[in-house]
Amino acid sequence: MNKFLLAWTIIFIIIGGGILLYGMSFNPMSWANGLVTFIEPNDEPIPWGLLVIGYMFFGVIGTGVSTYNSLYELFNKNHPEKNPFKNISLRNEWIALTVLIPGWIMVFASTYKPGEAVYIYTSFRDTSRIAWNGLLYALVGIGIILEILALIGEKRREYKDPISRLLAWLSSKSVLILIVGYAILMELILDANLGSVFGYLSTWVYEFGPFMSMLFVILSFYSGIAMLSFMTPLYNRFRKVKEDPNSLSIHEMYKILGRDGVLATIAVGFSLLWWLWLTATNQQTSAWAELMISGPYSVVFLIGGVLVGVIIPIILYGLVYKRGSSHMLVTSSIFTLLGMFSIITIADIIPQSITWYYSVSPISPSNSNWVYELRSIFNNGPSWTHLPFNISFYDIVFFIGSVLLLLGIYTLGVILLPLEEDEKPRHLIFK
Amino acid sequence: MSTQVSNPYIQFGNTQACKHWGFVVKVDQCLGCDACVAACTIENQTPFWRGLFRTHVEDLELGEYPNTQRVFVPRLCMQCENPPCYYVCPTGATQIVAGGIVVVDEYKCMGCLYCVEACPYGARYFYTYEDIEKSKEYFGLNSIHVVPHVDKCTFCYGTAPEGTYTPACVRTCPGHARVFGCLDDPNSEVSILVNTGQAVVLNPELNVQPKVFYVFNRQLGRGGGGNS
Ligand code: SF4
Ligand code: SF4
Repeated sequence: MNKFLLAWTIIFIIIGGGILLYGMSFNPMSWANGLVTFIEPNDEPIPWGLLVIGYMFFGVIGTGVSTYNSLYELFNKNHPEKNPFKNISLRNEWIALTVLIPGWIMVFASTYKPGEAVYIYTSFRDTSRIAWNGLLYALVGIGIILEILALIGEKRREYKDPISRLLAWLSSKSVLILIVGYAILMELILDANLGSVFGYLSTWVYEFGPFMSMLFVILSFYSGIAMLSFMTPLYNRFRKVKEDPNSLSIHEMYKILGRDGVLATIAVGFSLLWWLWLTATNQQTSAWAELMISGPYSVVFLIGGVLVGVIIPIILYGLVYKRGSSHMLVTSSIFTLLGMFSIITIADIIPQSITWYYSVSPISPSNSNWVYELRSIFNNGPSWTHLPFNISFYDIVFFIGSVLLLLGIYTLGVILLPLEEDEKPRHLIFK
Repeated sequence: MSTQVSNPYIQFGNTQACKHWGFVVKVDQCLGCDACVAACTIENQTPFWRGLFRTHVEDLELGEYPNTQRVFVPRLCMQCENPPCYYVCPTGATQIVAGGIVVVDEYKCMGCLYCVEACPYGARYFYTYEDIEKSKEYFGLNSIHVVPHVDKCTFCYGTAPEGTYTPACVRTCPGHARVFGCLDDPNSEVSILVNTGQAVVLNPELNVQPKVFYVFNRQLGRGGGGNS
């Protein structure tokens, strides 16, 4: 067993878990019931802060990795040699599952009483997008776990015990296609639903509705490709992976990631352009565009979203497509992930940061011209008020804790599971 | 959509006498004395120590000198017939009980704040663990909030005395600016004000169908008002 990996795993699980416990005031039960003092009273005008941004970010990356990887798996089922990720498919699914973990933690931490989330399942309200998130997160988790088991099952065909037979059945062509298809479908629906958590609110302006769902589906491909572009070259260097003569070369795989990266980034850039254009040219929403173009969030949007998230990755991914360079692939993925964080931050805070003044002439008595504002701040101001966005210490603790835990859990899988092509499951699903 | 909830705190029979309770605010009759806020604070133990209330009175100054007006506009949960807060609540904590009143079952609320985001009228806030501890300090054994939850105006559902179902703010208002009654009863004052078109809702374009209405009698020009 690799001692370095073992030490890394233990250290990150202890540090990440310790920070999370600190966030729970070392009392998980009380934390689950909202009974610990560490949770800060939220009087902020923007109630959804870093943890909501965080769970969207990791949720979309996790589903994106799995969807992207699974689509190659699905469409190359009859010609595995054409699948650039054939040898790392299982590892990619493990990345997807572990990246979802901080998302899951942050979903719970972003509520005051995570324990009460059980009511999502016992008294499900189908009009609530968060209720659907709770269900879909579980369904996506099941899909990815089944896919991992099926891919491990492919390696256990020679064993004849009942569990191996079950795993081998899962890995049979038709069942695997079913599992992969199910996982892709659930992931896409979850992405669309994550977007519609923002889009469903009737008092947020209209293009946040269907537009957000589509943007999040596109972002899942964009970030899934980025995550694989980040992990694969690092891993190949770390493991000193040799070329497999029966599949596409590593160089070719990088080129494919570069090509897909360019396409996904163009789609994101196009969506951002349209978002800005529609928002800026609509009387009701032009204030949002103002915040993004010249207001306090212009740095996040123009530098973070547009420059770092779109322009630089298009150039770098383009060069990767031409040259197949691993360094450039890692660099472009880092820019892309930073860009994605900025875009999700904008999607989360912009609609919360403005309270609108609505003209309510129909309610006004004749000859009067009252203007009434929806959220209780009133009078003679501009047509909207800008509310501040703060990140609380509680948010930072849970964000850092869950990301560090991710690093440990990922390598735990590397140690225990036969994620590599040349590794075999000797004890059930373990190496 | 109407349900009965298990939380004993929100089970009081006298609210069931009507299917649609309604509320009218007569803006011109509001003195801005905040007696309603004080009454509500004691009745419902709202976290006044954090400046949070179920109802508040907005103090508006309209126009420019010398043509100015001062207007007080009481605000509260609009008890929407089509409530966005209800639709987004993932746990079923936000419920519509008999009388058409929107309440929060504090035991089911997970504190995701989706309803706070969804409410167009800014009527909701979170009652934290610290607030519960604080309320025990102030109200001792009479403390009514047990676990952290989102809180909002419930027309005093479950706290108004038996038999005479009237919210505390209405009982207290010295200017009779707050009127409460059954919208299904055509002879009630609220019905008459609503049916004659004198009382209107805020932001009708949202189609949330509030059951809180406003009567604005002030005319542009009287005292120079308006804020054009
Ligand atoms: S005013 Fe807000 S809290 Fe009250 S019922 Fe309507 S949406 Fe819900
Ligand atoms: S904060 Fe409570 S009442 Fe509001 S939507 Fe979430 S679970 Fe429902």
